[in-house]
Amino acid sequence: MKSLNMSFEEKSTWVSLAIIIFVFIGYFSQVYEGLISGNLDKAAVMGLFIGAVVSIIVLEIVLHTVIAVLSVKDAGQSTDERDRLFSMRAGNISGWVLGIGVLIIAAYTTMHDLESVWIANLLLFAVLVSQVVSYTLQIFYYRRGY
Amino acid sequence: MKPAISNNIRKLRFENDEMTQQALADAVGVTRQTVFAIEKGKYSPSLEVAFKIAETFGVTLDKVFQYEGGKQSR
Repeated sequence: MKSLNMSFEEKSTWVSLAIIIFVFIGYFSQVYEGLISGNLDKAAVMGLFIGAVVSIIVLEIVLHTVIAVLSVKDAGQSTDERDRLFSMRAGNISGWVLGIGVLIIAAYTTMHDLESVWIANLLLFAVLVSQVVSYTLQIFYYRRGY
Repeated sequence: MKPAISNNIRKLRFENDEMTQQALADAVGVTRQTVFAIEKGKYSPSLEVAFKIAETFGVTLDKVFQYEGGKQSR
């Protein structure tokens, strides 16, 4: 990672992106399987969701500790103006992604009769897509340099 | 758009006891990777950071940064 000249914030962004994709591919694939098989109820979905949240927390702690140990000097640095700029730029765009996603879901749910658990999962999906967009954009800005 | 500002930071670092990028970064309050990006002309620092860099080297701002105006590239 040193040869790629990554700051700790960039490494952290890569880690968070990988975690969120990994955990929620697992979550949504299990939800989908349950939906298809008809074996999924609200309690089961809640269990999967709590499991996903706990997984994210544990993986974030473990993997950020690993990258901090591997790059001790960089880990001690606080975020600087470039980190904050990239975060704000990415957040500006991902905010639009989230807004459009929520509008689409709102339109869809007014036309179809869905249980609240599925509306919640659609909204969760929109939040995740916007977060993936945010992390991806931040990485793009870091690699491009500006 | 790639910044239209070039700089002499690398040269100034060597002229100042071969200051490292990390030392300059610590002096102005940014990361080493940001100093690297500034030297490569990929990132334009804020005015405050630009002035801090000039102050660190003990020179005026125009001795550190040069605006390339119409020559900027996309």
